[in-house]
Amino acid sequence: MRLQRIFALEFSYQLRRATTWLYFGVLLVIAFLIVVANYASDARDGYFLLNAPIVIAAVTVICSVKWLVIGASVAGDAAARDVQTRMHSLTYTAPTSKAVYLGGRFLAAFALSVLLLLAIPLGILIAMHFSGIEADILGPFRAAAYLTTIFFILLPNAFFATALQFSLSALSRRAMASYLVGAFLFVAAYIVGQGLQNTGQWGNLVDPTGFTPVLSHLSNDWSPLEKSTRLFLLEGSFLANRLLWLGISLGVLAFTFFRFQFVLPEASQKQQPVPQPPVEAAAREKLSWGTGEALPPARGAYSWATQLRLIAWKSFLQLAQSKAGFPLLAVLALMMALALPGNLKGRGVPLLPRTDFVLNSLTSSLTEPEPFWILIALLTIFYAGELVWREREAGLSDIANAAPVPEWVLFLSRFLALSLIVVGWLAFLMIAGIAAQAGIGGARAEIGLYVQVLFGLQLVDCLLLALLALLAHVLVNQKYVGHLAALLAYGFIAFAPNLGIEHKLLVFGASPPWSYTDMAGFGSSLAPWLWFKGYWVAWALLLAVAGGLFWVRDREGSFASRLQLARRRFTRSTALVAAVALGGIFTLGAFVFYNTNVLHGYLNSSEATAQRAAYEQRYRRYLNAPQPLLTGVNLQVEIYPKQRAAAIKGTYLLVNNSPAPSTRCIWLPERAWKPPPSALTSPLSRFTWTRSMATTCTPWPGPCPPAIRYASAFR
Amino acid sequence: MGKHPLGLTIRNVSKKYANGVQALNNVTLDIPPGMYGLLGPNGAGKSTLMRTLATLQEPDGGQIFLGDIDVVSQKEAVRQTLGYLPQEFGVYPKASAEELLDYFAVLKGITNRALRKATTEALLKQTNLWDKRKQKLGGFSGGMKQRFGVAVALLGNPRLLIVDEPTAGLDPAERVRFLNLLSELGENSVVILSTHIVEDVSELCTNMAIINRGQILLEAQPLEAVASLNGRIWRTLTDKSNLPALQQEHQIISAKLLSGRTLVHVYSLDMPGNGFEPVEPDLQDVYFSALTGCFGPASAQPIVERIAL
Ligand SMILES: Nc1ncnc2c1ncn2[C@@H]1O[C@H](COP(=O)(O)OP(=O)(O)OP(=O)(O)O)[C@@H](O)[C@H]1O
Ligand SMILES: [Mg+2]
Repeated sequence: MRLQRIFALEFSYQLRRATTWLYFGVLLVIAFLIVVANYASDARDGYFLLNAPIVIAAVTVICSVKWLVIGASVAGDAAARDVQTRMHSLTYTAPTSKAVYLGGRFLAAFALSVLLLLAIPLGILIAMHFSGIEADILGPFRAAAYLTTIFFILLPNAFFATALQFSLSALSRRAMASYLVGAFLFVAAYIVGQGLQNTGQWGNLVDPTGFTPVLSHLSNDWSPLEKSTRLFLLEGSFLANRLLWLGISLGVLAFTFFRFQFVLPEASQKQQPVPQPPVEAAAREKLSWGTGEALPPARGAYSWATQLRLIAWKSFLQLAQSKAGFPLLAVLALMMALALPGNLKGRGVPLLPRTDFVLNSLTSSLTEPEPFWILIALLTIFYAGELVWREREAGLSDIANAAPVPEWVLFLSRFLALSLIVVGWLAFLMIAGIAAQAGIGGARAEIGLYVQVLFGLQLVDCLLLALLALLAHVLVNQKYVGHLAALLAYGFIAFAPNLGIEHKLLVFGASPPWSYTDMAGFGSSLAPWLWFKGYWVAWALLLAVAGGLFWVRDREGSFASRLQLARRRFTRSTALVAAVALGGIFTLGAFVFYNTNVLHGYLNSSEATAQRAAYEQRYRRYLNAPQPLLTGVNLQVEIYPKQRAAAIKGTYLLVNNSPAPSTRCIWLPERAWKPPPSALTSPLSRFTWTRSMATTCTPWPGPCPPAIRYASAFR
Repeated sequence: MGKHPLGLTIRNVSKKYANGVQALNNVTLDIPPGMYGLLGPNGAGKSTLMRTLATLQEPDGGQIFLGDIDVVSQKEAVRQTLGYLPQEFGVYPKASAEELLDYFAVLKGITNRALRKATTEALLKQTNLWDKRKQKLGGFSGGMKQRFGVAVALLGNPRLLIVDEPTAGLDPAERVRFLNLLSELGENSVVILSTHIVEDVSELCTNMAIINRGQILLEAQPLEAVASLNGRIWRTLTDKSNLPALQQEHQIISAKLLSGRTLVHVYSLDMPGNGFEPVEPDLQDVYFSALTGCFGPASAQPIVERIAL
């Protein structure tokens, strides 16, 4: 009876909140997009039927992995809201048993999670049947496909994740703990599960969402026929996985039940004893009525630079010292160090742990994140939320906001604090890399290169993301929705090409990759990288201005009033900074655009596909033309990395095995490379071949493609 | 320190919350330097007014000036001289009093290290927290936390000090100490104090206003207001059951249970009838008369028509 009341109150409370429906909508849209933008094209290529059970399962598991972080606030809130709103003094003292209180809250959280996750099949259904997908890539509608997905994947996933998230939040009395659990399950599914994929069934067991087995069935385990028709059932290692995680969840819930106590959070923690004055003296304290000395005449010797420094440092320390701060980052760096030997491979062959290889494996660009860096991005977003919300959550924002600190100092100090965290993370990463190098042995650690790459190149990517995350939290002004907005922004950056946005001037933080080799150094990869990053730094400056303008320091929530405030804060110096930023965006952007689109023909992926098709149409007729066979190569290659040039001289031994006495040698230009018009015809006409006769082949006229492609032109 | 103390002028300030509550309705007040008491029942709009004065909230309309600083548009300038103690606030439980006070000193712009140290030390001593300065704030009692808030509000010697129910939770000794501190500050600053405790105002404030449902019911000096009620407050002891009948006949301003009987105060220009005796009015009577509508808005003149039934 009571349980029902508690359940109903929690359920309806969260159901009435806009955020719940926002999560629902986001999941629905993601599911829809994955079907329409990703699997539909595979289905058109004939790999499987679009509405095959395994495809539905795949969309579901991909979305549920994302849900782990998107929907984490549901369980966290149900478990910890009472403490965070300081209502616990009322609820804890009510005559309700622990089982009823926790049970009601947990069941409500579970029900809400299920409700959220049902957005996924709904999104899939809409995508399949109401988005104009052609009927010939769809099989007949099978309810069983949806039901098995819901009962074998969705419901168990909801239960496992909610149980763990709820438990940790209830025990730590923090809603944010739920996000951390979500992030860790995300890692278990996305990184550990995938990483262990080739080591038997371990990956399938470790992954709490079923992500690993479903995707491996879809990619290679199953035959094409199975992919289109077979139902994904509870069997084999997947059954073991469900049972294992069911056991873990129930165990954790039981542990929570026994550990949880209706006592105030402060009382249950041990604190260092504070030396107290002896009781007798205290009891007979002399009452002093005067106000003592006169008030100190301190008026601010006002210096915003000091304010900025001190606020940033204080915020940084608070964050870094928390458990989710440096301790967590150190553990992550350790894990990266441990994973490094496995990752240092070139075509399956272990590589020497040279610094450039190690750095390649440790770093990752913002636009093409490695799984580990996705976790770092999630943490960055989480830290940004903490920095923006800490004062308000502690309840001292009213005092702090009435202090004479300019908004831009408030925003910038948070950014600096986050930057310090990022620098700390990169330092951990550097130590991890050096330690791994020492552990594997065989190569020297180049500290200079570490510093250049981590604190020169990688740091820029990290800071761009940090700024974006902070801005999202400032603009949205609702913590969980802020997390979601930042996540979506990040998701957009990482998946923009899949959504059809390819030009790097349009995706925040995007740039051509840098590359480093021992021989050529950064070579020519650095200049374009710098131009692009300069362009994005100019954007970041503009975003920072927006962050200052919209920084929330009063209690006004409405958009109109915030806009009005922002207008008032838009002083002349702000305008100047904004103008500089805009100037940077336009000049750098124009320069980059001139280089990418005017000097060099820019092709997006559909244009490139069209070009490939034209290439095939044009040269396919030579496919079966008699060709001399390349049997020996003797090349003398001089590479001038600084000049980006190579001189190639040498002989190819071509043997004509065809019965015809003479064969033309056909050179085909590289697809992406546009040869001068004369180049196409000249080789065709220049050489004639006699049977078994070796001929010297002079190099291609005009600019030289790299040697490797040159040789492959003979295939 | 300003050469001449500045007053605060509030003109036609209104505020309606998004949920439709009209928290402030055309509030106009003149607040001279010194202690100013703001009295009103729960939900009257006191905190809303104070937050607005403390630059934390935008009024829908109206002007507020501190001297010649426009509080609504020149927030930064106001904050330079503002001390604010909200009705409710939290602290970082893991920080010590000294540490957090130092942090707030930085926020207030006391960036010079030595000056900051001297200031925090003086304030911790004045709020009797010096012995506890190393203790974590999470272990503070309610009153200690309140005193910490007082210390924060006094940082930087504000010329405009806004304290929202500061004496709630303070023990009698601390309350007196704090009020002494306030009046010292009130010698050359504007100190606005909201409270439900009528004595706080009567003992200390040179000026006061009574606010209810967002409207100013009375703006006066406490002594004058009390004096103007002279001979108009009558009391009688009666049974609880008689109360409704009494209410029909008289303008009751307060009724207190007193050892089983009810002590009723009645507002009347002349002797209301048998069983009534005149009482020496105090500020509490002023407060209740204002709330029950016996005092006209912004004047100490009673409204006679309403009483004559
Ligand atoms: N953030 C808010 N949103 C909506 N309404 C609010 C908000 N804050 C206050 N109110 C409403 O405004 C009115 C005035 O509230 P306010 O807090 O100013 O009263 P108060 O005089 O300080 O009361 P108390 O003595 O209880 O502290 C109340 O009716 C309250 O319900
Ligand atoms: Mg209040």
